[in-house]
Amino acid sequence: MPGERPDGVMVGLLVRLVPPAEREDIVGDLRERFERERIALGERTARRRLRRALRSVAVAYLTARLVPGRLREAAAVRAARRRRRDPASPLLETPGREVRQALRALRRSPLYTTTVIGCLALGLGLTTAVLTIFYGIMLRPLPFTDPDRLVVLFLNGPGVTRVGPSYADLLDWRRLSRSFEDLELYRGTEMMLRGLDQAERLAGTVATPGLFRLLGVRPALGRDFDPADGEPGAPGTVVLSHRVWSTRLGGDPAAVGRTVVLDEETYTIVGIMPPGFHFEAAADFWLPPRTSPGLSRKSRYYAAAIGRLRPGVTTDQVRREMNTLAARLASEYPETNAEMGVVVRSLAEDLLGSSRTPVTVFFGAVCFLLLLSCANAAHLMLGRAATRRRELAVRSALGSGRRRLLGLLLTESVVLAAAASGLGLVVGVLLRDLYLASLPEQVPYYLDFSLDPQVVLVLAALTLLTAVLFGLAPAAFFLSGDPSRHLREGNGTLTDRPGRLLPRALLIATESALTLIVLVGAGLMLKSLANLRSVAPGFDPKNVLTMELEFPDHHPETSEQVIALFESVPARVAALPGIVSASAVSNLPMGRSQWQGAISFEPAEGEPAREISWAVGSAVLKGYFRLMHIPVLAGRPFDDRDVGGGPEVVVVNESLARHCWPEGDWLGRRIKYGPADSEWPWMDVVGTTGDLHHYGLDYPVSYGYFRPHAQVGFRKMTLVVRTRSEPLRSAGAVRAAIREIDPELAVWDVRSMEQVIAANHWEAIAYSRLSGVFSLLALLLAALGIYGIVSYSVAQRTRELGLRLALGARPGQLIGLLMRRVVVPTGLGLAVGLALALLLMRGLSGLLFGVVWDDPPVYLAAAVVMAAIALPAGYLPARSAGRIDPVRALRGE
Amino acid sequence: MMRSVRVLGDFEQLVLLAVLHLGEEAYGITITDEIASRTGCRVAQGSVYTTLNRLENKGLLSSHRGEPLPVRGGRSRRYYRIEPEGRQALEAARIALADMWRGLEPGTEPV
Repeated sequence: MPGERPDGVMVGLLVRLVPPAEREDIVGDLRERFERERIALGERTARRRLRRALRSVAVAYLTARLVPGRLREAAAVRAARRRRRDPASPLLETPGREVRQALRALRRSPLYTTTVIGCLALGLGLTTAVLTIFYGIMLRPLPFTDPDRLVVLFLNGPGVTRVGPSYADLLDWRRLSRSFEDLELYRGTEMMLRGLDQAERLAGTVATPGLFRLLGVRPALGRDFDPADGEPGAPGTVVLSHRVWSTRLGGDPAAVGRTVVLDEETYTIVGIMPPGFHFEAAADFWLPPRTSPGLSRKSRYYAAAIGRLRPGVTTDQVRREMNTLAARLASEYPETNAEMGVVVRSLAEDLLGSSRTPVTVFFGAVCFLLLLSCANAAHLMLGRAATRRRELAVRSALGSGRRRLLGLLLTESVVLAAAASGLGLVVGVLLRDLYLASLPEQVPYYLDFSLDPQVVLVLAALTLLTAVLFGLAPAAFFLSGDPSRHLREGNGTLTDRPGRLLPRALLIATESALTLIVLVGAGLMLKSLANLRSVAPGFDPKNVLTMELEFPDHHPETSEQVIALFESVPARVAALPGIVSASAVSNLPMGRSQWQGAISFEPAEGEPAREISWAVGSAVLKGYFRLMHIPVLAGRPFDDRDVGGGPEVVVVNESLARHCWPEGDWLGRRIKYGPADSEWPWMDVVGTTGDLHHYGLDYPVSYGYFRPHAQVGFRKMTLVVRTRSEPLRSAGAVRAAIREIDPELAVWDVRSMEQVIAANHWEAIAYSRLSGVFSLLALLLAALGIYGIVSYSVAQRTRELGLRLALGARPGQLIGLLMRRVVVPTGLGLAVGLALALLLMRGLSGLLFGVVWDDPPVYLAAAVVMAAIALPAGYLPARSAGRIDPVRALRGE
Repeated sequence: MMRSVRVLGDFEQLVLLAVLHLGEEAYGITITDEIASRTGCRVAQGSVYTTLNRLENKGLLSSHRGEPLPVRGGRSRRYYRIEPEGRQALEAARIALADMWRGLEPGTEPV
């Protein structure tokens, strides 16, 4: 019976429904009758009668099967047949029943259900997490009015980068430019807040009075600054942050009008900003500059100008205008403005620029992952559809309308999608929290990672789309054309057809390729972090507590008193339990402030002095080197000989010493602050120490020198305390001891040295953790995918595999057969993935430290890991092929 | 006294009767044709098979294979033979029907 005839359905049914033993008899009967009738009645009639007979057999056996054990299904079939006659039946007739039916169907195949939900939930969870982060960094508007129209302007010129314009520059810009509604200046500052019980060091912003109006924000309480507030000689006015107002002023509405002391000067509080307002950084107060507008063009001490563009003006237009303007000012004021270029950047770019590339790379990676999970789910759904084709064909043959079948599949998809999206959201929030928890505190204020309703909406839509698309794809595939062919195929084909092999191979190859890319990225990040961690900072950061200490300007009066008080601190602190020793330094390595500048040195006795433009200086108390485990290579550390009024002494680090006096013999040489002709006294080198990474582990070691605090007398020092165990646990006791020494000595910024270092590298830490989690999940997805593909392959080919076993194939050969279809595409995927990774990883190069973006070992390791996951994921289900019972496989369907 | 009767369906009776008529030559095709030619009704061949199975399961019929035949593509026929229980069941059905007809004169009730 030629297969393309419509009676193929019935043959299919016959084979499916009639036990093989009886089938022989019936097929024999049918053949015998057909042969007879063909002679007697002619081919056509004989064939028609054969079809009729076939149909009757199929129906009879089907009925026999359904009754009485499956009365309910029989009733459903009858109902379906009736419904089919009713042309107006909606897609979903009784949603409750459809859902129950779908749940039943899904419960019958728990492996399928959990795998699909797992895949989709993982993919969606990852996407939720990363989209939230991505949205926070890339898309969430800055919390100002029309943030798109805000630009930052600064100057680049010979010897200077990124300096703000002077007030005189600003006035020129305001006068000559047509692009801006408003232009203001700002700079960050730090001041000591007093006058409210305990002194506190606060970060703040000094800005020309129009800043808040420019940003489009108003104080929540009180008033904004007037231009008069910024006049020279005006009384001091300050606007405080909501945080300071609520924590230090008890949220008292009457606080407006009160006074506070900032760095010894009294200011009247004129306003309180709304909660959550930040500009810039973690500013807790804002004040207008009241010094003379600094009409000297030279005094460029602002960080930048901020401008609000007129509506419709583009950044490019401003750039052109500012270039012309800069050229004009350069010719008018060559002394101060020659070669001073103006850089214009959107505020968002200025704030977020450095984070955007890596975030985009990760977003891309996660889109890949979502793609992977969708591909997995789609494959599973297609596989299930393939195994259900006969069920669907029987339903269809028995009169289930297409609408009804479609409704059934749709309901199943929606149920899966709902479960997956619910779970995915939970996974996403967990992952985001994990990510945020992994970040040090230094996440910039403008990044807001709260779950945005828009993000949730997008994801919900995405989930539904994924599931419905891939749930219905098989339905469309099935319902297109004649459903009966699926019955034939279900039985007619013993082996995998090439048409089915290719998509599988492609899927495996794609999964391997994409996972490999994510793995390579993670590998590079992790190696980079490991490199960073392996950099010896030049001191021992473990078990070191640090805190900032600062005396007010006029208490104590003399620097001798300051020195004496600071020198009494280490002994008091070291006497506390759990403390090994204590000392202090003016510039904590990798801390916030660095005292740096030009110095000069005498190359040899009597030779003219030469200048070094950049060296980091630190004033230290006795015992600092020993406490930090900074080796003293030659000479001596500071001791009681180094007092104020005594010979000026200095300890230099090895790099500086080698640079100045390459011939060695460093002790007794001389350096001084500033250029060679400066008024500063020469200082004698009494010792040299090992090098330090002052600016961060990813910065080279810098030239550095140390001075005894007794000869410098800074009012602000960083206390360093070596503890026996977890340093932060001693913080309270140390604080109390400081208060006993002098209650006016302000204490803030209590951190462990390890936190200080981490704060410098939060991006590296955050990204490597993130990529580590990603790559694990990508691996999991790939493993799930390959496992699913091979399992389905085995399930669908049970009869073929059974036959092969019956014909004498060894189980090992079958496993080999199946594994070849994993190994080849995986290998292909790895090759493609390596090539793609080479193309993509360049984007990460800015984030990497000590590892190049095309580092071969990382790529190799990633490929090995991928293979090490892919092969077992394929082998486990393939192994089950060897355990097929050939007799059962051949007999049963 | 009540007789316990194994009630046969009409089609089961037809099949059993056809097997009786055909004797040694009772197999799927002949049974179907026998019923068709005697009753003049079209018979679904499939129902014949399921009914034969059912009757065999009940022990009213037995079956055996014949020789392989070229006309059947080398397959053999499955021949059916009635068992004593089958005859009893047919008899019981006939009696039950006769009992039911008693008192209903032919022609008084349109059938």
